[in-house]
Amino acid sequence: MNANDIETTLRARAAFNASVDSIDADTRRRLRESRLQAQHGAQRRARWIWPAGAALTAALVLVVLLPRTPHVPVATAPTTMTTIAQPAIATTTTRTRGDIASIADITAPDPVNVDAIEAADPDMLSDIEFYGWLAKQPNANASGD
Amino acid sequence: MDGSVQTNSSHGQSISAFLAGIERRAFRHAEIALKHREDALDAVQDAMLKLVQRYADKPSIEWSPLFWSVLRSRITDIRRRRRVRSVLVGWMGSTNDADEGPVWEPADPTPGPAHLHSDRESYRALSTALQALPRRQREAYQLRVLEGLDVADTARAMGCSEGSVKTHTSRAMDALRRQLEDWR
Repeated sequence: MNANDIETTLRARAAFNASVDSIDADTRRRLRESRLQAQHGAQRRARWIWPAGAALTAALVLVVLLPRTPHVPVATAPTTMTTIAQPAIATTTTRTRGDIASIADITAPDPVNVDAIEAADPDMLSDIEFYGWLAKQPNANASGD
Repeated sequence: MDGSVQTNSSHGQSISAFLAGIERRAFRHAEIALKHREDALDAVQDAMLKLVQRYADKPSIEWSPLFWSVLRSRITDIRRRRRVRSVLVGWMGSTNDADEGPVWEPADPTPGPAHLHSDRESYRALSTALQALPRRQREAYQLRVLEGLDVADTARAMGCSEGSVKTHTSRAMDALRRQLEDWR
C-alpha cells in the first residue's frame, strides 16, 4: 500500500464514519425499531416454537400408534389363549427353548393359589409342574420330536 | 432461549448492543449497494432478525462476519428481485427501469458548518465511486477497508477465499485511487 492508498483509505474511512454519524433522526428511529422488532420477533418465535414442536411430536406419535391400536386386543387374546391352552403343541412342534421357558413363566403356579388349584383340579397342578420342569431341561426342545 | 437471544454468556456481549453498534453502518453500506433508502432499511432489518434468530447462540466474536454475510445475501436477494421486477415491467410495456430504483442521493439533510459540508461531499464522492465498482470489489472494500474486518472474516462474510478477498480489495483500491484523485 503506497502513500496515495493510505491517504485515500483514511479519507474514505473518515467520510464514511461522518456519514454514519450524520444519519437523520427518522432513519435512526426506524433502525432502532427494526432492531427491537428483530429481538422481539425472535423471542416470540422462541416462545411458540417449543409448544409447536411438542404438538407436532405428539401428532406424529399418534399417527404412528393409531393404526396399531386395533391390533392390540386382537393379538393379545389369542396369544394368551395359545400359551395357556396349547402347551402340549408347543412341546411337540418347532417351538424353541425360549418359547417353552416363557410359557412356563406364564403358566407357573402361583404359590398363593396352589392349594386352590390342587383342590379344584389336581391334574392341572401336576401338568403345570411338569411343564415347569420340562422348561428347565437342557434338551427340552429336542425331546418332544 | 430468551437469555440466549439477549446475551451470549461466553463472551458477555449483548447481541442487542452489537446490533445497536452496527445498525447505522450497515444501513449506509446497504444504501450504497441498493441506492434506495427503504430497501436498505428492509435489508438491515432482515439481517438483524436473521442474526438474532439463527446465530444468537454463537460466540459473539462470530457475530460480525455472520451479520455482514447475512446482510450481503439480503442485498443480493433484493437486487435479484429488482431484476425480476424489471423484466416483468418490461414485458408489460413500461419504460421504467426498476433495476436501479429511484434516483438516490446520499441522505444528509442537516445543514452544518463547512467541515460537515466537506464530509458530505467526500461521502458523496466515495459512495458514487463505490457504486461504480464491480459488486465483489465493492463488497471487499466495504468490509475490509471501511469496516476493518480482517481477511479471514471478510472471506467468511463474502463466501470466498482469502486470496479472492485480497485480489478484490487491491483492485477496488486501485479503482478508487483513480476515481478519487480530487481528494489529493
